[in-house]
Amino acid sequence: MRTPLAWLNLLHERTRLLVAIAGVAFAVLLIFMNLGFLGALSLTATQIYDQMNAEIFLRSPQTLEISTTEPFPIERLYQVAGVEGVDQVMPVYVGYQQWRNPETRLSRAMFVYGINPRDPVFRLPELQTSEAIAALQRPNTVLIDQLSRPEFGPQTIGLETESDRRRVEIGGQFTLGGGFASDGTLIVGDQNFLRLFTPRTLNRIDIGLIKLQPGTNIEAVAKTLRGMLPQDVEVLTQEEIIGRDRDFWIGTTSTGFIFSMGVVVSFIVGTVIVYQILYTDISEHMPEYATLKAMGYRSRYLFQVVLQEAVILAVMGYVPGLILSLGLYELTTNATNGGLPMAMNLGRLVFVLLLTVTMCAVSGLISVRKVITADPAEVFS
Amino acid sequence: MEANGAKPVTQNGSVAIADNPDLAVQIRHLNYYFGQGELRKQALFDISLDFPRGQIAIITGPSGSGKTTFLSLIGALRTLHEGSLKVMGRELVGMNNSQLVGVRRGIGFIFQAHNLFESLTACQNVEMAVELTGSGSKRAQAIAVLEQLGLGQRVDYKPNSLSGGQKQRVAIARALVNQPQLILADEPTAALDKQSGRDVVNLMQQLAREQKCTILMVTHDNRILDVADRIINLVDGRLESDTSMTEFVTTHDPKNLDPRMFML
Amino acid sequence: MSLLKRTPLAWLNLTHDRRRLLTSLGGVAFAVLLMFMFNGFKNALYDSQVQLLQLLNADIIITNTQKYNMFVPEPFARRRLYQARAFEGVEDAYPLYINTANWKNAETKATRPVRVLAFNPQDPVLRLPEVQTQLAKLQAPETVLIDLKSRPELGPITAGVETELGDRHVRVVGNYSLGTDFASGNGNLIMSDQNYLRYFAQVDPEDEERDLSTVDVGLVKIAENADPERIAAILSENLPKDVKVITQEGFVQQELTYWQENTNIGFVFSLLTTMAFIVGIILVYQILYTDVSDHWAEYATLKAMGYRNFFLLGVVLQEATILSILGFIPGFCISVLLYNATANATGLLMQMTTDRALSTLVATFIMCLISGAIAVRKVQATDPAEVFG
Ligand SMILES: Nc1ncnc2c1ncn2[C@@H]1O[C@H](COP(=O)(O)OP(=O)(O)OP(=O)(O)O)[C@@H](O)[C@H]1O
Ligand SMILES: [Mg+2]
Repeated sequence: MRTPLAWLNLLHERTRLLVAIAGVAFAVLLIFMNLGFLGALSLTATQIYDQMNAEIFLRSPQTLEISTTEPFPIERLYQVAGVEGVDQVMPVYVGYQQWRNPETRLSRAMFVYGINPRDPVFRLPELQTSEAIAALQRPNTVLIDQLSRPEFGPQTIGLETESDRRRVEIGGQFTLGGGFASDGTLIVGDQNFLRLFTPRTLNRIDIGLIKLQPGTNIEAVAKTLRGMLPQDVEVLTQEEIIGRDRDFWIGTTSTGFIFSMGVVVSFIVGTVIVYQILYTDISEHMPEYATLKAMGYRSRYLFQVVLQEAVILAVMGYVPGLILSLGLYELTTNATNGGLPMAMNLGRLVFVLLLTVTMCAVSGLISVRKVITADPAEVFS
Repeated sequence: MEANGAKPVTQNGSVAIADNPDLAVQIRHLNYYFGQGELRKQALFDISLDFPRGQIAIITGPSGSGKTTFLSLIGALRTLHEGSLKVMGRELVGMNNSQLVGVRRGIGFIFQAHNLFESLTACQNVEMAVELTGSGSKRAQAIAVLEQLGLGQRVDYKPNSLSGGQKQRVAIARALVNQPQLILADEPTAALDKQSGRDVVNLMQQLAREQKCTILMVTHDNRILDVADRIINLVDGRLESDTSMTEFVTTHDPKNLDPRMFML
Repeated sequence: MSLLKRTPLAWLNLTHDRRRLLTSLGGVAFAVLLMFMFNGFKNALYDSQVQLLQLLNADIIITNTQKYNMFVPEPFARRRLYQARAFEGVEDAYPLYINTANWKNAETKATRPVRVLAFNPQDPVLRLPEVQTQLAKLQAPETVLIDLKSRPELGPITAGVETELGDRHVRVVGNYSLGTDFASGNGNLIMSDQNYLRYFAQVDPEDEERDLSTVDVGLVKIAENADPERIAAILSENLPKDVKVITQEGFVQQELTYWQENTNIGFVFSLLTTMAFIVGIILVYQILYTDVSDHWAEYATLKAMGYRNFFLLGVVLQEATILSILGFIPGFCISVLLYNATANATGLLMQMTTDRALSTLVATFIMCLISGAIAVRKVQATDPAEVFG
């Protein structure tokens, strides 16, 4: 076996190696955090669709995301009901109401879903109970999201307060989470929705949910529907509707740009750190490298040594960086009370690893020029 | 074997000796150990020596015999616990670090490597020493010493553009500029060619005579033994011999060490 | 001996190897850039929420009690403004109407909701000279001024463009520059109160009808040297409890507080800024550590000559300080460029204020000092006895 010169060179100066690893680890951490925040924000913006019990969604082409919907005729949903493979269609109405905190008497905007009490619109088991269904059917009764912000006040069942100056009673609770569009969420039966949102009618709906029979080809049905329905509605699979909402939020809040920029700058900083380490290492071992050249080693060998050092640094920095990131992901999720659900995924792991190796390789390539141009005569200086 | 007979050592390990103002360095029963506990290893054994002011002494001995250790002790670079070591009348044994720093300022050091700051010019490197005790114009003082050492044309050069001998002369200038009463040199000529080595030693000798300072020099270089008033030989941390120059020549093989050879 | 007369060892050591100096400064500059970027994003997200509010030409703001942020569409009765005018110290009070309508992109015909700001062109509602000079144009029916910084999805928006707003014809008669915020994600239109009636008085039965009898934001101007806090308190005391009266500053602060408390913007970017700070410490430490280990023998020689640890500590800390200042300058310059590029690319309100620049300079300085303090331990540990041999 060849003498592992790259490894030995790095290992020789312990402190410097540790600092180098710390530098790479922090660059990796920064990249992970930026990607994590971006991921968490997109997830928050769209996780509502994971809770909706449908494979295909109908909405107006003018709708940008769930809270700025443009209603469309309910007939579109009836048209779909007969299509082969469709199991059930469910209308959903949405809107904002001013919910009065009964304790502070201050109002705050609550996001309201209106559904047919018997439709399994949400995958939440607490909404399928007979008590929940009964509550949805009772006049002036609402179900409240336990994840609504504390500013909305107590959520005790039986509590009475006002929503847009109409008296309502809390008839039950569920756990959903509001996402970007809302701080608090209510679910009401369609009749109650009508009352709360006069002068709206039930003939114009905001979102149409289409539940397919198990085993049905989703794409094929979506295609059929697109061909069949007029232009005033859009047919979106779950993946598509999530993509739309995500792109909208990431675009309007500039978060996509911000965190991509964060990744780019972190990458550059990581490159600078690794470059400095390699450059210093090379300058210090210049006489030795020159000696190797004088002995007849080719530039290619020295080139490899530096690149190996770069890759070793990348891997040794990546691991602690990843561990730190996992810790900070957890910490962030807890510190924001689930407001930023930071989750690691395999794609990101691989992407950042590649990025780290690239980062180190780039620095290696810049710093290696010094060795390549090493003059064997320098041994004598 | 020991050069001097054993003398009583006091409880705390230090030995009381009378002051003698004519002595630059007074050493009694000096022991020195490296490491602690299991790894403790004695490097110097019961050394007792006196160096009068103005003397040039050369310390020789095989590699690992403790020469460098000996110099570093006299140079107040290590804390001492046993025996007695007085430099310019100040007892080093038992001194703390901060007191040692004060002693060092009166000593000129010359190392095998020149240890010059690459970023400073010859003059600035010398000025770093003047600044320690400094009074008067530091640049003028630095230039004066550099001129004495034949570097008048090179004062504003950086070490990069100086030859090995020139660099060592700058290092010597740095050691001499504060006119120390004691100069410690560890193989100052080892990195130099024959002629440069000779020049450097001659300069040291000349400056020592002019400024009446004591020089202790470690060297393996037989060609420069002639500058010494006295030659001390260390073997395995013990004082093997302590002879005047003439004695040294007669007791050693004349074929190897012809005094005329030193006069080259 | 004065410090100034000393050989500037720190400076000379740092500047000796030009290439290394450049890399070091590059490192510090990038750490500075990172801090500026993350801080800048945070500030931009907050600042843009209140830029419109800051431009309101008022000393005191009256809103519906329920309106805790600009999202809340609760208006209040215009009578309250007339009542307010009667109080001593109040010079004038005028209404601003706010509503949302769908704007049709003239090219793609796709619609996007935009925020409409309407007021009487006689009232100096906005402290935007661009708008003030164009108010006369708004007298014509179905005319609007539109923000140049609106999102590109709105399509062509230059003067002369004709399209539809809320299914009704509209003509752009001029532009101004403001920017978007979370409550008006796509852009802001300005129109006269008379035109506002045209667009919002007879809307389809599902939407709420609006006329000029209810106001979204009431702007109160007070006498030259009157105290806004005091008058706001008096108004608040005496007007019915369906309105909230606060100073303009308080209004801006209320909006900011809402966003600070209801979003994770602060958390996210403070965390990222802290991490940038730590990366900076590592970078500078590495630079100083390398310097110290490269000059190890020289530093040890200085110690042998009689220099104290304190002196060497000074040298390293000076190097740290020099690095922080020299690295800050390019970092700052690149950040300013990047702020501009970001503002152009996203419409984010990236503002470099003296305060922010100074606080980042201080952070950079502290960052370098911390690294210096860690690196200095290595100098202190150098044993002068080891230079021998
Ligand atoms: N820092 C140290 N720690 C432990 N042992 C040491 C240390 N420095 C020197 N020694 C040991 O002390 C003994 C004397 O070393 P010293 O360096 O004084 O020898 P020297 O006579 O100067 O040799 P050379 O001629 O090779 O320079 C050696 O055995 C050496 O291994
Ligand atoms: Mg030695």
